[in-house]
Amino acid sequence: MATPASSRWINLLGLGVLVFCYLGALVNVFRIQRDELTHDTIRIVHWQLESGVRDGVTEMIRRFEAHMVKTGRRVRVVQILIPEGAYKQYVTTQTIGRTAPDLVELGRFPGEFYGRYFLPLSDVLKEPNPLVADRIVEFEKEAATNATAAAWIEPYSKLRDLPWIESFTDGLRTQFREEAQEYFGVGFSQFTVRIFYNKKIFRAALGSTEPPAAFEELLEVSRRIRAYAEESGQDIVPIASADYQTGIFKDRFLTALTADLALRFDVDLDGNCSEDETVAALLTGEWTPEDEQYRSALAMLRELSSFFPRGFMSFGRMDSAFSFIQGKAAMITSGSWDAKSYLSNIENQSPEQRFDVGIFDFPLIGPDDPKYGAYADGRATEANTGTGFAFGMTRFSRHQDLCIEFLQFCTLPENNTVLNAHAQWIPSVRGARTTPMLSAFEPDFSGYWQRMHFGTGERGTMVERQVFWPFISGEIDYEEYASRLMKELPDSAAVDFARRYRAARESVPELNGRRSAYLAAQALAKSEEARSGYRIKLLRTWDQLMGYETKQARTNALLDHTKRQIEAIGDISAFNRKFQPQLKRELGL
Amino acid sequence: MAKEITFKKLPGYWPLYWFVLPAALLVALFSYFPAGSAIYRAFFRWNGDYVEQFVGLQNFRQALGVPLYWILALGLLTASIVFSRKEGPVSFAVKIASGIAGMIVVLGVLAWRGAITGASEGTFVAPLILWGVPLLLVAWRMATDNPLKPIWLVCLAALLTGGVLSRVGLSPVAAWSISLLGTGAALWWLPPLRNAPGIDGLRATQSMAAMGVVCWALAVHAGGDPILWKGFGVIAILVVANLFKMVPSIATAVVIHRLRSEAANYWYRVLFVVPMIIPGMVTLLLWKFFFEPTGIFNAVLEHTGILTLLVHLDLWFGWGGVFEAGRAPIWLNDSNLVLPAIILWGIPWVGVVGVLIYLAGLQAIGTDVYEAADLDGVNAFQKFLHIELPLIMTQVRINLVLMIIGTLQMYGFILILFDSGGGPNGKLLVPGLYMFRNAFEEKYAGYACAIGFIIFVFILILTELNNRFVRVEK
Repeated sequence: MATPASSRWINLLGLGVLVFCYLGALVNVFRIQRDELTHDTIRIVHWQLESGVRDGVTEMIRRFEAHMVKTGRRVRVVQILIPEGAYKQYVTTQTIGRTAPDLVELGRFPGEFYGRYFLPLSDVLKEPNPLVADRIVEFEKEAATNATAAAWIEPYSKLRDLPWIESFTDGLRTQFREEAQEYFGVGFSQFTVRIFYNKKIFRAALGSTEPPAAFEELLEVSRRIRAYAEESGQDIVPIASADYQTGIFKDRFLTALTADLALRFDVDLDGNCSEDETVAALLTGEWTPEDEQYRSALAMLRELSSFFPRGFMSFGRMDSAFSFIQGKAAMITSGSWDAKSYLSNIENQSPEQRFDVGIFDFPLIGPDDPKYGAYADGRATEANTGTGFAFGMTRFSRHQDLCIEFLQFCTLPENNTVLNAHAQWIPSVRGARTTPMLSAFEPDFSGYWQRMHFGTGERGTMVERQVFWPFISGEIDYEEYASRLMKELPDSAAVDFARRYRAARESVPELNGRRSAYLAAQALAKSEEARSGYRIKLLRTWDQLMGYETKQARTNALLDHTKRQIEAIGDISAFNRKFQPQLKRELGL
Repeated sequence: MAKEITFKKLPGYWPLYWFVLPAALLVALFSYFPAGSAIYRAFFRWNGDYVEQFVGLQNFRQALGVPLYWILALGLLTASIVFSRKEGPVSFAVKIASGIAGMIVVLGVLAWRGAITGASEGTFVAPLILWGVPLLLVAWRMATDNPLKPIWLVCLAALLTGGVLSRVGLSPVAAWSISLLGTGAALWWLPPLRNAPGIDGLRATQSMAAMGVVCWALAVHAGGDPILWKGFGVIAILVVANLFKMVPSIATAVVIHRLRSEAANYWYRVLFVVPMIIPGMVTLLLWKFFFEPTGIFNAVLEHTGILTLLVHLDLWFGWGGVFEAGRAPIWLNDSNLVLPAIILWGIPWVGVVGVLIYLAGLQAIGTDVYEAADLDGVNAFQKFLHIELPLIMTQVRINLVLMIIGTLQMYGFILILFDSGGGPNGKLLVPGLYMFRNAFEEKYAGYACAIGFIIFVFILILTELNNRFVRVEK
């Protein structure tokens, strides 16, 4: 049958569209391939989707590419953004598939992950950043005509002979991985957490813009703001919060009330109450959810949460941020990482909606607090905040020298200032300048650094979080929370414990291999300093090895010890009764 | 007509295979190889990368408890499916073993373990009865053959018995076991039912429902992974709810099909296609806003007086203050309400794809059938019941299979809404999400593969059940 002319034309049009799209795709592929051939391309991935950070990194890329052109190299840096919720899965799958970008923002990965997929940066960090000296020469040339360049000479000069690691405010302490004895990351910024408040609402509701200094005052301020909202018929909540912000408050309150407990249960005196030590405390019944200090910390949080919006746990982080920005909440807690997006969004609103923002530190709970004072330990320190927004280099990178150079470039004081000025974050490098607005976020190093919690590992954390949700939402009381927790936690803690046990056992061959390499490096080291460095690594890894080797014996000893206690004293811990059979099942004992 | 090629002549047509080969290879490489690889890895302790140790059935033991019980139960379920449409002593024995003996064993084991009584999941008993009782009453009222009437009454009594026993403090497994035992006894031994039409099909259904309760009992008491089985419980509720949620799509398709105006018919179809271009994420966020305490959903409940009714029901059934006067419910934040919220999600549940599939089926029905029905004085509802519904059963079956697969595999939107913890009290930690969590967060990929395999087996069984029973002789 003959095809009508119109139908033939439609078929041809369809074919034309198909051919056009195919050719377009082909051209794009060739273009990318040509770029790859003519440029050295490195890819950098992070989860900071805020516009300022993105712009800051883009600016770094632009400057770095221009810098490389000066040195006669054609380089392209590609920035990849992955949402926070999917980041861990993205990096896990990409590293396993050996297709991860060259530079990866570090965080939320298990300990063994670093040694396996990232290259240690310890050796290069020991040497001065070579770009510092080059830049000083350039500044000196420009100094006569350019005051800005002249001003940079002094801070740069201080860094000239220092190892690169010393140019960071915290000496990259938080980027050191104990299990691998190496540094894997270079941090670009520092972060602290504060409470932001709407001065307009404070003025209207309280007649003053003075922030609360103590927990009791925070409650009182919240009460008065609520009363003001009800009287004036305005849709205002005292504190904007979501699951995310609730976690910040929980962390602070637990530190304030349980820091001494964490020190008590730190039986190996390494300054950290590990997950195993938490499990041990639960097994012997020394620590239970009935503990008054823990209970008080959660009671504090629940009291405060009565000033959060209804249904806050189901809100996303952005929901609460919008609520604050739109002037529907008087306060919100978040970190310096959110400062820019809050302030710029508020600034861009209409004059009627715009308001001044104040920032204050978490109100303290002192011994004179009428309800919770009996257990008050003190403030939570920010000494362990360290440098964040840190990047590590994956083992599969084809341009390792280039990656290191990019990291060195971004951590020059001048560039670190620019990057953080875009992001409105606190710089991580000595000599870099902080935006005045961020002075409220300057870290306070005094206080305690750890707390008790029921996170016995991945599974335990999940179980506690599941039960915590209805508790903090007011759906169940503390007794029910404790009862549900103790029903689920022993099994989960046993699963976590068994997993750590297996991971330790599996690390032994790898650790032995690494020790052999250290031994060889120590024997062949050219300087006494290098030899000493490897000797320290050998000693530290010996400790780890002994720890792993004795883990099985320690596990058995722990089980035997608790078994003997049960026989001697009777059933001392309900936790123990469920934990042991599950652990035996998990380990096939 | 297509030409039939005999096996002998096959080598002579070998060039034809070249056309099939690329597609076959791609399907094998991208569909069958990953699936096969996942089944293989289910027998390993594997972290997705470098840790790979053969552990035999350990992953399955962790998930199922004692695999032998499951093998026996699933074997009996398979037998009851195979023999469901057959007659004779073997078929009778299999059905009675599944339907009655299975329940006696379950009750015996529960009594032995002291698990006859326990916390009852009261929240869903009332909605089940509220839905089920009117439906069964309608069925009873409409049953034209007198012998069929008692059957519907038995089903009604079973539903009410299960609900009441569950409410008085029996554990849910025990309550529904007793209910099914009673139903079984009635279907096999009640004199008026012995030769009732369709009695054999009902006996088969009862025996399969009983095996479902056996699986439930195993999930609770065989020592498997409680988190996984809690997730399967949620999925079972969602599958039942999704069955009801298919009704509006069918009704809409029938209404559009019956429009007299061709133009109106066309525009309605277009209007149903348009929402398909809205990204799923946008719809998800919209519904999230609807469910907020000050959202549209609560406003509708309040203005229609449903909220007041729910408050009364709360007091009457003792739901523990889920609904309180003067307090808007927080659907996505309350562990008692989050599952009903997911069920209510997308109300009035007119699925675009579903409507189009049903419409395609309806348009294949010839006008002569309707004309004949008109001559016989058949009313609109009878036309639906006796003409349209039987003739679109193929489409209903397709949608059912897709729905079952979709529900069992579902986790993406829960992950977006609540992260990988499964929401308040982990209420929505469904098997798919748990599998994802094990694979990508806890790096227990071998165990995740085992969970995937178990989900696959459940999908297979439910699809087979669907294929065997959801059909009407045309």
